Amino acid sequence: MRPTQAIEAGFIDPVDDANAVFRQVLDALAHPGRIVEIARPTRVPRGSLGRAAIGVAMALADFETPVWLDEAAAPAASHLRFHCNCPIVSKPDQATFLLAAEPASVPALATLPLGSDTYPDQGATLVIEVQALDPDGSLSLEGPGIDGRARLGVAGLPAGFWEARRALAALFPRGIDLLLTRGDLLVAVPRTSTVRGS
Amino acid sequence: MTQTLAGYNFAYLDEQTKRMIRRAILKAVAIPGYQVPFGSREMPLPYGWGTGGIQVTASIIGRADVLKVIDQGADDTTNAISIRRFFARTAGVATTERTVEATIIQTRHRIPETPLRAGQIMVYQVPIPEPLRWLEPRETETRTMHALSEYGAMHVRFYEDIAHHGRITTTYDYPVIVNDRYLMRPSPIPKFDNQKLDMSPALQLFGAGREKRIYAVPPFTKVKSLDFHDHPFSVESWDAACSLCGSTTSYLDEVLTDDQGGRMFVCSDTDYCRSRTS
Repeated sequence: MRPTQAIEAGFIDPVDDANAVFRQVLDALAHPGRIVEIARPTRVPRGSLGRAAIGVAMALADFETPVWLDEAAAPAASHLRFHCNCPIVSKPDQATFLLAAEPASVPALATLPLGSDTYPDQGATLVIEVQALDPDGSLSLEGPGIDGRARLGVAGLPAGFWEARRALAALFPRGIDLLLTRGDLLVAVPRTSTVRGS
Repeated sequence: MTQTLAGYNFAYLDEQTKRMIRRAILKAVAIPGYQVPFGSREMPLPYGWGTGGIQVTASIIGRADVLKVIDQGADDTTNAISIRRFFARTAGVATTERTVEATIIQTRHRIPETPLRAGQIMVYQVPIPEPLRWLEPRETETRTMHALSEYGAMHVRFYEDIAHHGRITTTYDYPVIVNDRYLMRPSPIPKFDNQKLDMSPALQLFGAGREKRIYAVPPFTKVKSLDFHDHPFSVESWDAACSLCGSTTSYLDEVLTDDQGGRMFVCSDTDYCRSRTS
């Protein structure tokens, strides 16, 4: 008899796959606005999160990092709990990683863990599955990791999202680090990036 | 020697430790110059032999990487050889002495003369990560000073240097401001190398094993050496050229050749020097 909620396989090679995903995320974070491709794991659980978003959680989450999932991402909970051993929390302000499959369901950014002035590294990492990523869009990014200026297009974020993020800039070094995903694609917008446009 | 050791995970560290260090590295990159605490592990080398750098390298290295390790610019010193061999044995990765071939360069106290390129990762071994430590011994206080960007004490120290000696006497581990925000120790590189930190196309990671801190300078990030308008930052210069390759632009070591006062100046960066002579 099949269990009602079969769990998909995780990384085929836990060592090399986790390393490959991490290096892509590191590359993305070191070059904000650069779109990288994450091709592992080979299978993703039910729900609306793509391979890049699931890969990030599988490579980086464990028992030390509470994970929050929005409603559309919730079907991945048993998968992540099984493979990562991570606590799944219902309150976004308790999470280290927040994964949202539906951009409109992202809680107000200012209510998320931003870290403190003495420990800004405790600011959360927010992963949002968006509708499209475009290397030549209407957003303009400046800051560490960017040689001059980078362009980026993101479709599917709710109106006012970038304004809300801009409002956090005054709180630096407190802040949120953003990973935007679309299927296998991922782009990072760390708290140091100045984003213009919408 | 290329035989990998059985019974160890790839690159020695267990996967949970790597994950914890990877998370610290990602936050370090997101907050340039800020020291992220991490759970430093015991390594099969004593503290002071680069355990911070080794843990960072072990957490980022993949099978396709090519590793270079230098100690004071040289590839053939004890520390460099043993770390290179450590990763050849525990990860089976390719190693090199050529700066241009390396994807990861772990370093003790130098930045190669050959300009770094995009995609390369520098890993610095850091003995003391806290730039304010000799001015304020309490971690709780230095942490608050960083939170408030309160770096006046360091300026006062430099001012006292100038009042006493007529110049800023710090010659290595010369403090820098990263991205106009955090005061950072660049590890004990000569101040000659500080200019290479600024707007480098490579990613630069710093690991302090004993002090359990990781910090980073992302590519294309402003790194400014601390100074005063009337006492601008300046680097070492030599009257001599390298005795082996004739370079007048590289960092030179003074080598005593006998007990009659004989001496020669040679490049500290052995790969750079060799590439110019061969």
